[in-house]
Amino acid sequence: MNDYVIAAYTIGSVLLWGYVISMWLESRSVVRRHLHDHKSSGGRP
Amino acid sequence: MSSVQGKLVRSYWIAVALLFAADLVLIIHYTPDERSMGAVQKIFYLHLPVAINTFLACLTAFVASIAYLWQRKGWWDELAAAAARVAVQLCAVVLATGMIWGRAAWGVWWTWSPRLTFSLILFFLYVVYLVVRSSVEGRERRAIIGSVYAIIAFLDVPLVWLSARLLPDIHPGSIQLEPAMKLTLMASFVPVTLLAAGLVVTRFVLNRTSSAAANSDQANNPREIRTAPFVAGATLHGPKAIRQTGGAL
Repeated sequence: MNDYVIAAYTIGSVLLWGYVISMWLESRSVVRRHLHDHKSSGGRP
Repeated sequence: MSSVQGKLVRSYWIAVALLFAADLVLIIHYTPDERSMGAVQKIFYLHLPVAINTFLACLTAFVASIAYLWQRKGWWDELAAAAARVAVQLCAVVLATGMIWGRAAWGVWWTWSPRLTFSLILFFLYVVYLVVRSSVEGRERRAIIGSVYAIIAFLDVPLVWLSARLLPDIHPGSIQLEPAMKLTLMASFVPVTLLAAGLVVTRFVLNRTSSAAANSDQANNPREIRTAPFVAGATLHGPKAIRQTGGAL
């Protein structure tokens, strides 16, 4: 396989799937912080 | 979000990843090399579907912005912001893959041909859209300014589309493909389009989460906030949760 093709698909995949992973992490961090806060508040909403 | 919805979302992304991988196998092992350009032409199977989906994301932002100005419903603005954010990401892929192809085909990473120039302008127009949104105070004011800007920014899309056809341009305007190449191109549209649609929807739900948090914070009303995709079986409550969600675009 040509080096240019490998470079293009690697960069393209990283940019596309990297954004998917970043949003997944964003979703998880929101919930994790909430659960931590919920616990520290004694379970009150 | 219920656990069933969470499982569906995860299944969706796993299916897209598998389709993406299958498409790569198709491109590498099934698709023949183009006669004049050789294997470098295979960049085209990522470049074109992502470019078309960039236009679709810009179109979504355009339509949602018009709908917001018409109906003044906040979720139209959030959809426009989500589509614009994804358009930036997709346009970055178009520019990167195009530059690599240009280096192989023309011997230069960049040339100021009409299509390349309008594509770069498109990228910066939507980057500026995101910057403008994040710098404007007030939800309604931000939505109005963002909507007007997104409508104007979309005018660059037909320029990108038509530039290689109407103006003298080094960028290919059309390309003749063998049946196996056409099949691969059609197949490549499936994972890329599903990925782009998934990104817009996910970004939209994250925007809704942030917006709901901001509204609740203003009203100091401990209402329930639904969580973003990927995460199953959890909801947010109250002002503390509201502060944590931030103001994602």
